[in-house]
Amino acid sequence: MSAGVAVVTGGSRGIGRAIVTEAARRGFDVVFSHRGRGSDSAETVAESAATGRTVVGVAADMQDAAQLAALAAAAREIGPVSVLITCAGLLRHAALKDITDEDWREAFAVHVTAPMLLARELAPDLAATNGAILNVSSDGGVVGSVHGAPYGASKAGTIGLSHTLARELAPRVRVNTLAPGPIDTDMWAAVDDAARRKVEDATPLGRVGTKGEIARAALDICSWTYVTGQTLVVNGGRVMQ
Amino acid sequence: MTDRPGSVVVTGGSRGIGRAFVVEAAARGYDVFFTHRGRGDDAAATIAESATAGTHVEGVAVDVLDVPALVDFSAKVLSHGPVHVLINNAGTMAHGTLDETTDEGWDRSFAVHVTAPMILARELSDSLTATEGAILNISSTGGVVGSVHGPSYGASKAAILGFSKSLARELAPHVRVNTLAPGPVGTDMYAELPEDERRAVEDETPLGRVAEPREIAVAGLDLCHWTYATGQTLIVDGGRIMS
Repeated sequence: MSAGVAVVTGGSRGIGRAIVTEAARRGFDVVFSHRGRGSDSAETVAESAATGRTVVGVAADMQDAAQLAALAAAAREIGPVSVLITCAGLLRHAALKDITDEDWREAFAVHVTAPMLLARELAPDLAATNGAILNVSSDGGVVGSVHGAPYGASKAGTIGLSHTLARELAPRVRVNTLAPGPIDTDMWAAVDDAARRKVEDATPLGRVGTKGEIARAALDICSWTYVTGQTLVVNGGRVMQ
Repeated sequence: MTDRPGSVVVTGGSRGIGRAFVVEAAARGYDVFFTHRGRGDDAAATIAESATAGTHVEGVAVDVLDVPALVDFSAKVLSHGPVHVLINNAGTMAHGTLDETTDEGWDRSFAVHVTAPMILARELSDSLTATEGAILNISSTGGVVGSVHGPSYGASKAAILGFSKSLARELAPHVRVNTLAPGPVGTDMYAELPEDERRAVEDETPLGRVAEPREIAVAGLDLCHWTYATGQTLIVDGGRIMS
């Protein structure tokens, strides 16, 4: 018995992949997007294979509305969509003086516009299933980011989008935001030692999070039937709100 | 936190949200010790509801205003085995405006909502440290944005947020400490409100209804299993407050 179809963006690697796997483990069929990363995408599918659920990767550029619509259509073909998790992200550190128009535009396109477009596509499907949307932001979207204004402002935009959609799509669809701190992804591994040590020292739990911890939280939130419009900070206690 | 179920401690477990926590924890395989304030029949009903789980579920009559009784209760729980989760749920709501606030009522609110959680955390922290466990304190949306139930309730429910965050820092990295702030829940207390008041609450809630106690318990116990979340406040209120 399927729990419905979960749509996950950015599912070929990192947190997104962990969310795909966790969703399949919980009985969802999953359609996830990736940006032309065929071999990573195949690994995500392989990781979820033991669950016996249908798990499909679809190449989709988050900045292309037609491809996002195609992603939604691919999900619909498999079954009723009950969860949308937008996880695709872009981290290109930029100091204020160095911000290009392109940096700025892309950050908002990926972190705010794409989640809006997918929500618009899938809102009727999600209303029919009393489903849930979870947008993955960042603790930097809550308290300001050390990765520069494009990242920090757009990740805050994700939260504003979630709050607004929570009001608009109630009572049928719940909409929440997950704001992780640093997580042990490839992106994190690329950060230099001293910077990583500094973050760990500043974190009450003394370490970065794991992808599985974020994935579990993400799917839990989607299952909470009386929670909407909330931002859950999962960052080892660096930010307490 | 190890997945091997141990004990969950719930205060105020004879009715409402507390009972839902007891039942849900038992369903997840935990032994449960809960306090109640001499409500023997209600406590028996909580135990009966938890019985199918087949775990050890025990209610103990404890007045949470009675510090030595809380210490004895803790010792009893520890003699059974390690504690994995402490849920400070017991609450008191004597609605009262500033003019109506008595010294006694004020002290009582803080004793129930803040002091009792501190005592139990103090008594059980060694065991929670050993199990890499979690504490969940139950506040209220009124503790986050101000309460319509008067200063004693609002201030003491806000104080528990400060207590949780301070404890989250102190007990890290071994024990995670979070707060759950429910909005209106369909408890007996809620059912006693006049219908127009209930309608008003439901109308201003995006999800259009109040919570079932079980919805609070499921979210709360899920949160206790999030091994990378500490010092957080989870609002479960159907979207009345968005944070």
